[in-house]
Amino acid sequence: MAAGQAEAAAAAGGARGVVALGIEGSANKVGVGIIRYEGGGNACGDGGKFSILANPRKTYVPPAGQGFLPRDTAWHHQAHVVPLVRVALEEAGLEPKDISCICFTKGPGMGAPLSSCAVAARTLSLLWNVPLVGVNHCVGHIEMARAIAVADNPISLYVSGGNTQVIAFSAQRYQIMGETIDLPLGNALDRFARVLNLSNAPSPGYNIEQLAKKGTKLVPLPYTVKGMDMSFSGILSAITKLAKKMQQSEAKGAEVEYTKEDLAFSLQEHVFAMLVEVTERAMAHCRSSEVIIVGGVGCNVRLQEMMQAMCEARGAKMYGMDMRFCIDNGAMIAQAGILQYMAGDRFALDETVCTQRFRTDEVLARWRSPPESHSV
Amino acid sequence: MVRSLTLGGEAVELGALMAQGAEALYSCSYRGKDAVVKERIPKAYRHPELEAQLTKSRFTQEVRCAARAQEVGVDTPNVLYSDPVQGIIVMEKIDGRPLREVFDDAALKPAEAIELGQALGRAVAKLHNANIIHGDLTTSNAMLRRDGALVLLDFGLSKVDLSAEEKAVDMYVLQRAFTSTHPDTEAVFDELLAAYLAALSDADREKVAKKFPKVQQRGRKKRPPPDAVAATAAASSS
Repeated sequence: MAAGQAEAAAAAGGARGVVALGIEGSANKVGVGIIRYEGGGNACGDGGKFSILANPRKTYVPPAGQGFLPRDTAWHHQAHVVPLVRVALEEAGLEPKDISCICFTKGPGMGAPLSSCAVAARTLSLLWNVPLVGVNHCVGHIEMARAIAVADNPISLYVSGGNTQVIAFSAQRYQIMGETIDLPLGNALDRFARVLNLSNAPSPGYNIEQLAKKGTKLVPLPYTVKGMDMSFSGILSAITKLAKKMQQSEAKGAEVEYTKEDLAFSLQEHVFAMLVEVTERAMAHCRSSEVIIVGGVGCNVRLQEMMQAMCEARGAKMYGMDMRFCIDNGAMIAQAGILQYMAGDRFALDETVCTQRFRTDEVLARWRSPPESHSV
Repeated sequence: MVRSLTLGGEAVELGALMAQGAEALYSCSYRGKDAVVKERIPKAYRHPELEAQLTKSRFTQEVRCAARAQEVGVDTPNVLYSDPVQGIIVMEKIDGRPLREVFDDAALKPAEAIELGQALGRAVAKLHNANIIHGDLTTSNAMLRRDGALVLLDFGLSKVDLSAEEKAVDMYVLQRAFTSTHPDTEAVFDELLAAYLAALSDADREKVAKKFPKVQQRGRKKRPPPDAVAATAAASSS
């Protein structure tokens, strides 16, 4: 799969730079991004100038009370991926011959939506005769965050609808220091939004956040940190029960002990405290003084505030939130993919199968130079 | 800025901040001894009610579990003073090095690393035989005294639990701390685990040995080990 050193160096040092087109579609968003690297001489992306030339996206929003089903989501992506590629090329002012590599999400994610986008990537690869690079979605978030925030070696809290992990870089891999052992937090939040029949637009988590701002009463819930791992399923059951009880009281016209605002508030206070606690312990163990939040739940302002408070107390730095590494998009896949491409990664067609199970720590990050204090 | 605390009627001047995890550690001198002050810093990010509840339960567990560990022959820093109201523990300062540093030391011979791992495994088995779950086993939370004795630190997330589940989770935390921090020490952890299981009580050995692989499989998106992972690693490094 690896190309020769000479080829990699040539790819990185070309006069017009390296241009990657990335296709993302692991969940309910389908996006196509184009990234250019110029002057990246060391085949690592370090020191090279990178720019996002285009990054259009479409989001599948199911009706309130419903989640996005794989089949419907796949149809949505199939309908939009080709127009998105056209729009991206047009925005970037490029033609297919200008593309150096096509990057696609190999996993993790939902099978049917992933495959829909992979088929598009393979087709373009054959049509344009451009190499393919399979990207780990989680690594896409991290690499985009490092590039946008200019963060060299932060601890990443990756928290979204499909993943919840605390990640540190060590031994040339993104190691998972702590993670959820059952539900991803974003999924637990989505499901709670369905219990309350909140709208899925712009996102269920956003609507929970707005409710939580009006909550005042802290309802006791489980606080489940097991070692460095977290569990959210018990909390979801507990709060679902409380919500149903509240809804029944409301239906009878009886007085309620707590409002749905209180529940949203209490849920956020508990689960975010768990996330921040595990992140802080990972920072202490790794002696890291930088943290970045990636993934959709990272947009939550309360979570950012809590992480910021933790960082201030220990003299650490938290990088600001940015949609380009929090919300799924094509450019982040192009970003991780272009680094892989410049380091020499190539994927033959039979290596481009998608996989729903693809852990962050399976990827050998050959493009990264070891951090200064190598051991984490 | 020098801070001082009144502990047991005595003014104690805090020295350098040594570390900050779930709590801050300061060096100090307490009644003429080199000591460490461990101060539970109120977490500004947590809701005060949740914070109060967690602080109270964790403080009590910490002092209780550390004392219990000493009773069953596990070396832990002597507690010189504890104040549940202020959330402060003063303990003996260990003259030695964190195990983390020892393992990272290039001068450490493989045989010595294995011996250290086995000693750690036996120490954890002693804890577990007394139903003490450490809760945060890492190589940062163990030290090697200058005389070579192994000390376990930081019982801040400890609890008493009889289940094989909690014991297996404890070992899993340790394994992950090992593999992510000391990447070339897989063999050491295998030896550590073997020594741990050998020293575990007969009643628990089989149960924990059975539970451990199940706990290991728990994270999301794991593939059945080890073929798939090995294949990917081989593919991406070829």
